[in-house]
Amino acid sequence: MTRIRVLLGVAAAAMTVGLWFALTAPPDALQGEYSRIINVHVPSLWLAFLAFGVTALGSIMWLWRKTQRWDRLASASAEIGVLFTGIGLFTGMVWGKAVWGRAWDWGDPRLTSTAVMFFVYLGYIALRNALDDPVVKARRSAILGVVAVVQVPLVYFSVNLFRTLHQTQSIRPDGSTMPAEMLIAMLVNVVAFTILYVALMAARTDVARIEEASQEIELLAGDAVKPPKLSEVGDV
Amino acid sequence: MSDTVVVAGVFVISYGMIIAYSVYLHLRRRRATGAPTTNVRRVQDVQ
Repeated sequence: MTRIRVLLGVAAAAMTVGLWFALTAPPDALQGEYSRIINVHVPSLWLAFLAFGVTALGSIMWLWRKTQRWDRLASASAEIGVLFTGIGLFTGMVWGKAVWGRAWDWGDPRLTSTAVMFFVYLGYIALRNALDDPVVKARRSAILGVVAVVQVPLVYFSVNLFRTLHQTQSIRPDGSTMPAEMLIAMLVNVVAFTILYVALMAARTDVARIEEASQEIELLAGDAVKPPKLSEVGDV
Repeated sequence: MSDTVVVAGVFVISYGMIIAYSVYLHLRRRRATGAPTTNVRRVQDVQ
């Protein structure tokens, strides 16, 4: 628990530094203050891609090793990925409304593929909640975790593969299209969000480990661990 | 609504969601460990 508290403390400090960079970076010449949203939007979706990649890795390792900790890693990472995909979609919609004049366009491959990815991983969480048997749950979600990760490169490269309303990448192999101050602010936030991911993963896997242990105790002990009803207690 | 207020709102909601998730994990951990909580229940619900 102390390790998790330290990690969450470091993440909070990193996020504070990131917020400071986001709020002090110069505004865009045309977009004005709205350009600051890039400091939440891009790191959130970077974190989502990372999280879904870790989910796939954990899923592959579970299918290979059948060790519970890989299932724990995969499911924890998927949950965090969904949270940050949601934040990425929300920030993108506000930004789009201000700059493009519309919050959403179903004809845009980047927006639509991101929404599909969000709902597929929501389905991953729903699938896990619908199953009781831990082995069946781990197997089925591991298969989905491996299949679903195909969407990550599709979402990322959708702006290169199709004509979209969404801009192409600002950071490319031949350099960046962003001014240095804005680029540094965004990269600081990418690092801060990555640290936050590590801290949240530690906290989430710890919760899963404790819940699994308590479920095992309940399965072993049965009714013996259930508290008596008040009506069964004679002298209260 | 001014641009600054909208952008500030985006930051507040985004960071708020992250904080809410951290609190949710903390409460879920407390429930899993059987730590005392301040949850209130009626007597007939316990019986």
